[in-house]
Amino acid sequence: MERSNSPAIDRNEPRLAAVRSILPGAAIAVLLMAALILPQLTPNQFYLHLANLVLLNAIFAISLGLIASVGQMSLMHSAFVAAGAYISALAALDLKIPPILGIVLAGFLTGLAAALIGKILLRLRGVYFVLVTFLAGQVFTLIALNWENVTHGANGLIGIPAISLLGFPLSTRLRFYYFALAAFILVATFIWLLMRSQYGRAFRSIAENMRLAESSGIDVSRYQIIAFALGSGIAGAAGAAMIHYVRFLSPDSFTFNDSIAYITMLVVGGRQTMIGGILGALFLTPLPEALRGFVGAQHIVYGAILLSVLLFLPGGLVSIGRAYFQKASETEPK
Amino acid sequence: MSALLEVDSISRRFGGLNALRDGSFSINEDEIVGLIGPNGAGKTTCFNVVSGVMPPSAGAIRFKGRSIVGKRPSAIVGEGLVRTFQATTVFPNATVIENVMRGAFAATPISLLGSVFNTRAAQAALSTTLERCDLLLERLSLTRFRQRCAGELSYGSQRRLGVAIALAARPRLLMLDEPVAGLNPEEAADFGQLIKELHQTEQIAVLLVEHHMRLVMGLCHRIVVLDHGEKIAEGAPTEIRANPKVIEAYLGTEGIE
Repeated sequence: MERSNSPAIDRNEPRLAAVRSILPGAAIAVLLMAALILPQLTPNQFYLHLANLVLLNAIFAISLGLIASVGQMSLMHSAFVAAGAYISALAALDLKIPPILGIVLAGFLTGLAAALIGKILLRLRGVYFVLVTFLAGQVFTLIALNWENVTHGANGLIGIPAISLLGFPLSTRLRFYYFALAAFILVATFIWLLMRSQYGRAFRSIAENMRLAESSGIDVSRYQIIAFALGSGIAGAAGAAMIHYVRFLSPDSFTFNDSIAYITMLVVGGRQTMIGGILGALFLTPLPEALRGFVGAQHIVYGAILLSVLLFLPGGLVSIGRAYFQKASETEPK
Repeated sequence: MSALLEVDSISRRFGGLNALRDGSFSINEDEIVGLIGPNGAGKTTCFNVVSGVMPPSAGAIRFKGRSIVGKRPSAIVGEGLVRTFQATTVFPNATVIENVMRGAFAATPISLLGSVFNTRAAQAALSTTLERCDLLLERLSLTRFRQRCAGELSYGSQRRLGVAIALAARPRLLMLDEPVAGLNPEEAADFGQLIKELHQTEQIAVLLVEHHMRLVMGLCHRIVVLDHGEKIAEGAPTEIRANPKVIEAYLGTEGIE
């Protein structure tokens, strides 16, 4: 296999390429069908709730993945999620703005805020950026807690309305499921398009060799800000959508622990591709429920999973599938 | 006709250290200029200041008649001034062709939004760039590594790839920082030949920092010598070779063959 000569490659490659080009499309079609009929298979409201959380977490994880794709890791992702949630909840409660508009507004405003914050913070690299985003996230939680006449402090906001589409309220888990699925598909498609465009090329160049990227004409700071603003804006919009589903919001709703959870999903699934974030959300969202018998041990299990993945599977769950594919196509001569 | 690059009495201080003092030189279109001097003479600082990696403490730098002081390195690349680095010159995890495509990023006339939605114009622009990049690979004898990870290549091939990445940005002036350091004599000679060819066929000016004296003397039309951050000599290779100040500071009394 490994030492096959070039004519063999010429014969195999087109067929293999054809299989490879059809496969992702077919897989997506099957998954989409499954996702559409899934709620019909189970009347269990709890599973439906979990499915909704998986979809939302997948959005949080892949939007964080977008930021990670320029080589920066944000520990304030949950702060943007919370900011989006507060914007849309307050817009609905105080200004009577329809939630669906509130979600758009939340995405736009958190994205804008991230662009401004990013312009300052993204001058820091690596661990310094991580530390400062950690602090910024904590500051946000403190503001939410102490700015009582707006956020109602620790009491939180209650009575947040459900999303209503043309007078049709998404007030049940089932209805929200289809909305979340559509939102997830929209976000995933957008990020996929983005990553295979020139933006993606710029992002990957920066992550891999910042200095060379800059001297290849790629404006590092500009593209880092774009990635940070888009990733955080998506997180803000998804946070807003989530709060019109959960319908209660307090400073505890999204904390540093959630930022860590998104990072864990991303790392466990695989940082390099978007599928990684999705797999991570799919795998880790139900985990706390499965571990309900071991309250207190949950975080230990999370930590153990994160460590084992970093040690034994640095590419994440995604790399298992990829290794299989690479073996199948290992006809290239060395 | 004014020079392509004019460096007008630039200085660069790091705390109390004057890494570069009042240095002036210029490069004309279609010229290969060497920048030599002992280690610590300020050659790399000079490169960094000119390419925008760090601002000069004082002085002016004009490229194609316009000041480039204060511009970001990526913006300077867009003007047509491209540099390579002494060490890390490739994207190790990307394929060789992807490396060159990244180098061509700024020189690909494409609307970014168009590339997101993969419009026909974007596809056309990308395929034109791809063709150009493939040509560059052929130029630098890298075609057979096209789909390989850049990190897997030999040191010599990586250095050639570094030049291919720089060339992909369509430079008017290419600044090479010790391009043959670490290569064996044969590879170094090939590299010199390559630079000569590129200079002739692509009509690009070259600024070369190099310790390999035979290469510098054979290749450059003009040589600038730095010592302790100051220019101590400038002239044709034969003049430089005979200059007593240069011999004392750098070349040594044994001279070079």
